[in-house]
Amino acid sequence: MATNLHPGTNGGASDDFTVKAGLAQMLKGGVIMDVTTAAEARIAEEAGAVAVMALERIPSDIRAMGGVARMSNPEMIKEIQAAVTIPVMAKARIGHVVECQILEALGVDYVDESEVLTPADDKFHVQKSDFKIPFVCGCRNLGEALRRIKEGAAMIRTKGEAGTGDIVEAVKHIRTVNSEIAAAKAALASGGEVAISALAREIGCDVALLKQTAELGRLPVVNFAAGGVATPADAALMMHFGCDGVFVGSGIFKDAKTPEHALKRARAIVKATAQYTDKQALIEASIEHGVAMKGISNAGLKPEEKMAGRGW
Amino acid sequence: MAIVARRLGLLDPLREFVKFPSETESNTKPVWGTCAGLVMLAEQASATKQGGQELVGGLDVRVLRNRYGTQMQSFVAGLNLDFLGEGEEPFRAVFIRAPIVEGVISESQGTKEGRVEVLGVYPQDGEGKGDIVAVRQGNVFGTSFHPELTDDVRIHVWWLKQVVDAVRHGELVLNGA
Repeated sequence: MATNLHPGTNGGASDDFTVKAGLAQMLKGGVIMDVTTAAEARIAEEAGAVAVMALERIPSDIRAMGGVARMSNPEMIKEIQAAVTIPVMAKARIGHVVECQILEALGVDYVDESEVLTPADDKFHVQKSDFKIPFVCGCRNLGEALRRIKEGAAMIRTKGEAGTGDIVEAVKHIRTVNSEIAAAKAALASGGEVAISALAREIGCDVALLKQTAELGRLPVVNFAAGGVATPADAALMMHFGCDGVFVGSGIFKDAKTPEHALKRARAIVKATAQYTDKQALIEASIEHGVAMKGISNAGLKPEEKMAGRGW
Repeated sequence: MAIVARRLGLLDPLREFVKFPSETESNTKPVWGTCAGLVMLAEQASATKQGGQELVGGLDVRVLRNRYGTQMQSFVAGLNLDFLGEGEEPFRAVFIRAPIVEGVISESQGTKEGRVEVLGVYPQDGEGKGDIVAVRQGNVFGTSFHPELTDDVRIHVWWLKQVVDAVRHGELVLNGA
């Protein structure tokens, strides 16, 4: 995988990008969990999470409460940093350069420039290569993924539809990315550089990154699933589609009856992600997981209620 | 890592693999751990998670987790590694939330062979002794940094030679030579 880590067009120095993308490489096969308190972060760590995402409200609560969702209070992030030894990620609003600077100064390990929060800029994303801190960003398709990588993202995730517990959008997004990568491979094989250039214009992305993706047969950075993962089977499904790992937002703590129930859910999703091809393990994980969050059907959401459309 | 290994029933088999030769072997099997892998191969660790953490062991050392801090303090540094040979170019070593070897533990336990050899040091700011970032004890090898993240294959080549030597040595011993 070594050669995957140098999109030369990235803008940052190659060593910087190796360090940024390298951390994501170390998280492969693992689960990153949304947590809102130090106690939840400890549950995630004990369950075997590879990292936590510190945020004030889990996406399902952001969805329910409405209003403007912003970067979390630094005090809460500090408490979580002090509580665990695994990497701590935090979310900034799309295009909010200063929230990113604050998170960088706090010394979090990764920033998620996230559509789950209310966007701060309706035209531009953050120029992520200007930062020393690495970024993860969401995507619905290959063009969007490569635009984010071009801006400096060192890790990609599907957007899915956060806070719903409905996996359908995450599946749509990974299927779209996979089929577009297949199309890029075919274009490179049949038409060479000219065909790649034409495809890059069509999907709105950098030519060199698209060519690199076609040659690799996958995104040039680690790609996780996110947005609607609620059960061990959901996590395993996203691994089955070729995701490198899984973010679980609301699925651990939403509607969990007790901390013990949340711990069981968390452990079950870690197990299912690690052993996603082992049917017996998936049975055990599904039993351990117990009752899942109730969720909201994606089909019932109005367009303005969807978060995945945020991002340009 | 240890939590998942424990849950998947891998921790004890890993200990068996790293620390004890099988009936048909005279030595333990060659094992190499990088970064968190080095932590797993240590007998002791500092700055662990609350409540401590399980280790595989194999190296009589105590490691210090996250020696340099968070991802913001992760870095790439050129290391002079004498074991790669005289006059070799520095190795571009990628340190990601890296641990270091804090010290060698004196009393050896179990079936480990030989002493801990320090194979690499990161001379931070040129002050003091520097941080131990590569060690070996018998067939167990650990690095704080990630040679698997760069295109430089020199450590991999060196390592494979060690594996070949270990296997040959084992065959000679078993054949009574």
